Parts: sequence; C-alpha cells; structure tokens
Amino acid sequence: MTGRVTDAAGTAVATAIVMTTQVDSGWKRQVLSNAQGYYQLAALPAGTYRIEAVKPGFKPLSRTGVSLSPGATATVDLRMETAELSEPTSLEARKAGSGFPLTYLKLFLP
Amino acid sequence: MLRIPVLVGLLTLFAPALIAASPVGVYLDFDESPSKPAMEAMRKEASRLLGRVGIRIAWRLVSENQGNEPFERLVVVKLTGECACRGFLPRTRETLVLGTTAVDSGRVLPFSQVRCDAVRRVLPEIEYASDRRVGDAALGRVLGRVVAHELYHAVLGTVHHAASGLAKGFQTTVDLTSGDISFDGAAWELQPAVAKQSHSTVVP
Repeated sequence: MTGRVTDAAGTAVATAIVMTTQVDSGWKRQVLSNAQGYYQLAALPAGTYRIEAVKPGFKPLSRTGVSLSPGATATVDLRMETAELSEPTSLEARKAGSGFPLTYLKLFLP
Repeated sequence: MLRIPVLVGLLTLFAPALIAASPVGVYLDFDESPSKPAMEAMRKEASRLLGRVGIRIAWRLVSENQGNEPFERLVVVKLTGECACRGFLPRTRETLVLGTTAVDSGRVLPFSQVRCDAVRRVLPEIEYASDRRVGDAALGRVLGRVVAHELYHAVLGTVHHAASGLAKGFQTTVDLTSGDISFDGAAWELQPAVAKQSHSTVVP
C-alpha cells in the first residue's frame, strides 16, 4: 500500500502517522509519512483495510473499505483538513478541544 | 516512591506477554542539533524505564525517515529548544511545562513534545556543570524521564496521571534527578491493556 498525505491545498504533510488496520483480523501497521508526504507499507496481507492518518493540527482522516488483493499494490492518497487550534484554558476545555496538548508533565521546585 | 514488591509481582504476572510485543517505533524530531551524549543518555534512560513495564523502543530520527518502515505502533517525539548544556539559561522559580502529548477530542494522539530549554532552566547544576560532557549526560538522563512520561501517555493512550511515580503529572527536581524513579500503580493498572494489544496483532 502506498500513497501521499497532503493538506487541502495539495501540499505535502510530512510526519503524519498513517495507521492501517485489517478489518477482519484487527492486524495493524503504522508508518510515518516522509518529508514529501509519501508513505509505503510493503507486504501487507490481502484483505480489507481501514486507514487513518493523524497529525496534530489536522483533523484525523479515516478511510474504510480499502481492499487489497494478493500481490497487488493499492494507492491511497490522504488529504487532511486543518483543525482549529487554540490554547487550553482549563482541563475541561482541553478535553473538549481538538489537536492541542492535554497531558502535561510539569515541574514543581521543592 | 518505588514499590518493589508490587513491581516484582506485577512484572511476573504481565511481563511475558508484554516483552513479546513488538517494539514501539519512536521517531525523534529536533529543533536544533542535540548533544550526542545527551541523546545517548536520554535514549538509555527512557528505554530502561519503559523496559521495566515491558515496552521496548526502536529509536528513529524523523530526519532519516523514508516513509516506509512499518511498526505495530509508533510515536513522534518533538524535542524543542536546545538539547545541550550551554551554561547561559538563567534559573527560574516558575512552574514549567516540560513535556506534552497531543489529544484530539479526548483521544490521545501519539505525538509528544519535550521542552529541552525548560528542563535546562530548572536544573542549573546541570546547565552550569563544569564538565559539559557530564552535564549533557545528566541532562539526557532527565530528558529520558520526561520522554518516558510522555510515552506512557502516547503508547497507552491515556490521559490519566498517577498520584506518585513517573506517571505523576507534576515532578520535582528531586524526582527528575534522583538515583531512580519508576512507574507505579496507575501505570501498572494499564498493563493488561497493553498485553491485550499485543495479543490482538497476530499476523493473519
């Protein structure tokens, strides 16, 4: 399986995680898109896949029903939409928001 | 801080299934070229801490990513600021955020950030170490603990913080520089979930 991750304008989205899940078995593989937005997952077992792309600052993108025949290569390009970012103001707000940090490790000086 | 009897008992219970799981691919991304001793120490410390809970790490660099190496799970860790002791950052008494992990609509995303400059500002004994190589190694060890904390969130997909140990949301300089630190009860409670994941990923 191969493809390119882009934004709505067609610009490459690097460092997006592309997650593939074989629907019947739950078997998963993940790969990181490269600087040009390309990803490749070789030697995937045939079957029907769910594909998801995630990256902070973008809405998670999901594709279902992607069929892969034995020995075939499927090309699945993924176009991600920008998510609205905002700074968290409270724990509740962070939980409800999208694409920004929630889990913090802070340091207190003794 | 450490609860050795609990740790040993639970390791016995869950370790075989966990250690059998494939490694988590962790891609490191840097704002600036890091100190080599600091990065070696960081990887070693994070691997040691996570290895105790059965999580093996395969370290990679975003700068070398070709987009074709598959992992069962992977996480991107962005290290911001300068990850090397330079002896010029003033100490602060503020409470600083050392690391974060992204969340989208309540779902933890496998993208973490670790702030090297924040760590340097709260640990002047490291920042101003007379031997820079020693300082960098000490910085790397602390960074390794921060990275391990964020990977705890990213790998287990939890926003939960524990009351004590490395999964605690707030750490002191003593926690970060002590001889040892470990994940405690809260992290252990999540272990079966990790084991379950490893069982559900049998190649068809």
